[in-house]
Amino acid sequence: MKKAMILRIEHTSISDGEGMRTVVFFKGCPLRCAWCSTPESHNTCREVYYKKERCTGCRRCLAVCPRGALSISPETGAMVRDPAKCVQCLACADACLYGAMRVYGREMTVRQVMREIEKDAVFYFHSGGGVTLSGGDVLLWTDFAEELLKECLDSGIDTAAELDLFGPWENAARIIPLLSHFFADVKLMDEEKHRRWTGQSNAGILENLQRADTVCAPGAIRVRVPLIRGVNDDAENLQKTAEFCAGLKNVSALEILPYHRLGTHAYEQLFRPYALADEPRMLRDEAAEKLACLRERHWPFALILDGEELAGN
Amino acid sequence: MQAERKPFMDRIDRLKARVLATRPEMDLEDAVILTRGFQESEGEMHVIQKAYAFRKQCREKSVKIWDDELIVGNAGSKQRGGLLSVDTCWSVLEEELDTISTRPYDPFYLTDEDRKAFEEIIRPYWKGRSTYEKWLVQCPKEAAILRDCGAVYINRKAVRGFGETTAGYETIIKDGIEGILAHVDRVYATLDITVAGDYEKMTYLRAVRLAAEGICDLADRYADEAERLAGLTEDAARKAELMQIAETCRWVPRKPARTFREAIQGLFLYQCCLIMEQNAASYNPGRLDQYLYPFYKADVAAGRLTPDEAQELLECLWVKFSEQCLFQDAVTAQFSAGYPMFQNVCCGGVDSRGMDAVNDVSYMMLQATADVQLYQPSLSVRYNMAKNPDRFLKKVAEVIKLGTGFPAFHNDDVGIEMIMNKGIPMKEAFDWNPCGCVETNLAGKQRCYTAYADYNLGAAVEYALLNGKSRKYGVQASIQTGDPRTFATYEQFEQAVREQIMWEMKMCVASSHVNDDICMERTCPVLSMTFADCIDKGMDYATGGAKYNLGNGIDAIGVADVVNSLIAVKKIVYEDKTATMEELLAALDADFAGYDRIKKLCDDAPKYGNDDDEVNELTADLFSFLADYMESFTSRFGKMQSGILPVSGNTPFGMEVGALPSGRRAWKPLADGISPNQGTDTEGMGAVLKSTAFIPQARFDQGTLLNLKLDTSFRERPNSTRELMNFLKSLCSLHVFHAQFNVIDTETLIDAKVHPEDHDGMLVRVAGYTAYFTELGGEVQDDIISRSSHSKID
Repeated sequence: MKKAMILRIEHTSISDGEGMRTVVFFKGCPLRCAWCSTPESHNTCREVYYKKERCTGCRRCLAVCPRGALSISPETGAMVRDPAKCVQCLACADACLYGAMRVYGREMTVRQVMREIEKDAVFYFHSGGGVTLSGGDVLLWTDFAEELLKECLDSGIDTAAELDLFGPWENAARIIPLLSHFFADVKLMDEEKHRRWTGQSNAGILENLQRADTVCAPGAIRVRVPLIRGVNDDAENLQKTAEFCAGLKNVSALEILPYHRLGTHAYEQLFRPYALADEPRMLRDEAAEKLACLRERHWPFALILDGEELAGN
Repeated sequence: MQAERKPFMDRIDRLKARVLATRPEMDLEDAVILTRGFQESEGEMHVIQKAYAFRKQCREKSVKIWDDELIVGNAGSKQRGGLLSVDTCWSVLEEELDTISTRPYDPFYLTDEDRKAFEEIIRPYWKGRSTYEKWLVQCPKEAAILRDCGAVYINRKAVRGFGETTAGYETIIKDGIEGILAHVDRVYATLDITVAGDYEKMTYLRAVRLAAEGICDLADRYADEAERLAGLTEDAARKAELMQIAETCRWVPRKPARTFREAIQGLFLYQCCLIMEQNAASYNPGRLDQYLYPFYKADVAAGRLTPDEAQELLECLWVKFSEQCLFQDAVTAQFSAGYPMFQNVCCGGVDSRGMDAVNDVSYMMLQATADVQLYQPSLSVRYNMAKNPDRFLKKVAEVIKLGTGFPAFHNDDVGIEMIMNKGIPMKEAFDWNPCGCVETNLAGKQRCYTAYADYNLGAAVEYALLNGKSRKYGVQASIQTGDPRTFATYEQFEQAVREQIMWEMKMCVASSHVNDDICMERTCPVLSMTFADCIDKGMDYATGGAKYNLGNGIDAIGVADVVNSLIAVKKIVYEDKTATMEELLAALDADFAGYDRIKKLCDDAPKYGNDDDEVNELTADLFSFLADYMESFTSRFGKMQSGILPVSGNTPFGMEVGALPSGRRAWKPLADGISPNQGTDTEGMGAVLKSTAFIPQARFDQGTLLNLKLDTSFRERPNSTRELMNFLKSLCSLHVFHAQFNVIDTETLIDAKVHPEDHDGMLVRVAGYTAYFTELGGEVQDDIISRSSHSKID
């Protein structure tokens, strides 16, 4: 049976597609977007994180660490993990009695994940919901995702995904036809900037999206743009993005997600630096102002800001 | 929804402000008159004495009409008074004379004057005569030990009147007192004092006549008072209102109501009379939308009333329901804190054909609760997924999102099944109404205590672990089920827990049977006059005159605690063998202090509320078994019934139970209703709902209670109303009976605990009812704060 590293499974979510959905988060991502709010999804391996509110300072974790990666900060009294030394053996998490050292990631079979999805069937029926695969990067787990989606379709469960569309087209080609709708991130139109802010080129992503447009269900594509101050919030980028979407026939929505900081905590718990540590969140009004440049024209898709369609479009 | 403010809201706000500003006080005027009435009628049968004394109350009590009121009436002499049923339980106040004004749960201010009346008039007459005193003497000894160790709560019905019933309000409105008396006369004419048994019936019917006279006299006195006040006022508009009040009270409830206003006034005066007769919680007006709609429709069609005027009258009624405060003893108050009168009103559901019964008044009731936002009446919705329109469900979802804790959402099909499981035909079951908290009832037909007693599932686990001993008291509280260290298999342990639960249930049943016999002499002619079968049979409600006489409801408390404890023992001791029973017992004895490893094992065991397959199976097995066991008992009235509604009893029960294998620490509250243990549900509201569906809920035919708390962000999402509607439909598909929603964020609750003065009038759903958060005791506040907050559906 195929296995995948699952970050978590969320039940009855109403923010990830049509109706109430079960969202399966895969672990592992080839991109390193500076603003990423789920750093715990970056690596494909299981990894430890630290909730200092639960820590009693008992030092059990220090005692079992084979690499000396853990120490107690003399200033705060809290535990500190040195990622350079840590090999993710997870011995510390096993030793912790207080739920302070915890582990992200669980290896699951298709059958196990399917069982979790089936549990929510009663919520799909009334709400028109279903399953949404998310990440990390779903396409890193193409074999697994394909089998899972086919099982869902066999059970009459609606299928959706959040995709970054990075990597070879062959992977996306196996997944896209299995989805009733999907969210595709178009973070930046300028290739150089894209490389600088995400660590990868966007050429393949945009090409994959154009090809996806030819094989997907009608109106299946919802393009998402995380709006980051000074990165992609200029009129030129927004207009180019919208024009690119307008050139595709199956984009039904362009969704703008203003920068938020809900992930800062996760960086601290992973002892990982956060590139945008000092960047304040973007409020809805500020985002709406920046989107004014898109509202002069009528687009063939809905323009959505933070879950709500912008009027006058 | 709050967009347009109706002009009549100024009046409603003034009425409401007065209720909020008024301190609950003991109100002994009725009790003094009742005592004198009994003295004057010495030698008569009890039912005559009761009726005579009631009529005397109607003729002599204070009659007050406050400014701005359109609907009038009050059971006592004070606006927010607590009445004492002296014939039932005078002595509970005796025990609290010095503390009642300041006790932590539901204090009532006792004036010196009332105290003097109590000591000089009430006590000397009633000493030795009350139901409560008889109960304390006759309570079965083995049950008393369990009660004193906090494993069962069996005193509730001895410390107040009947309640827990739905009178035939429609009879009062449609037939009037005159119609009832005509019925009495027809039956009386068939009786012959020389026929054995007929004297008792004739006596009862004479008592009904006395009580009926009293009700009419009281209405006349309100009419007189309204005329008097009209003569005093210079304000022409108020004068006209008072004259209309006078005209209305001259007509109803004596004669059949002709208008919407008369129907409302008639039903409310009858409600006051019920509470005067016996102070008790849970006199439920029931399906107002069904019996008021014909009057509304006719008035509006005839141009006598505008929809706004009707709305204003309904909202005036809503405020009136909030005035009366439930007086109960300090212990009982812990089990249902917040002065709750539990006057449950209901809208939606199906009609006698089983078809959609939603009408304009159904929406008006939801709007009234949205506008008034007081803690009474308890608004319930019967939602029938197959028959009721989405427009109705949408309105329900919108009112839920306001965060008042109302309406309580009931899955209509399950309610109908619950009534049918009591042996009542489907056609009559279509007319059911929620009662008190989440119990199921039939207006003017059903007699039982819907929530007679509670049993403590957490204590049952403790007794299985300690071979029947109470950890807190160190005494042999229960039966011996063996030393668990000698149990070779998990099945042996589960069997011990089951035997402990069965013993608690059996002792509740024993108490219920004794109490039934004691209550045979607790007649209530005012209540029973709207039970048509009581008149037909010439037999009081108390003695079995109602159409359907049922065994009392016995409630389980601590569902999640027992399930989580069983699964933890199974995993830790018998499957994974990560600790021995010996080690587990030592850890529990120390409340986990020094046993961090065991605590972690307990915490990490699977938990109820997360839709875990193994936990679900265990839940289904155990609760099917408990339903079977309760149904094996029959009282003198009928089959005993099960329910799972804690009111706030999970808090005092928790204070009697030490640490549990579930990981719950000693003396903390147990889980409420069928909700998960505080903070152990990690998979969202959907998983909670799925988990509860493994309890065969329709078989717990006195209701199952589920608390769900949504955080305030829930209100802000554009699609949240639709998704809440979908969620509620999913609830119905899962055959879950009930859910109620708290929509206040945790920070606000914490702040309200520290700065109550800033949060006057903030409502929270406690469990089956809504109360002012700032009026709840500290432990109940903490319990509400710690119920984990769900924000997924946001």
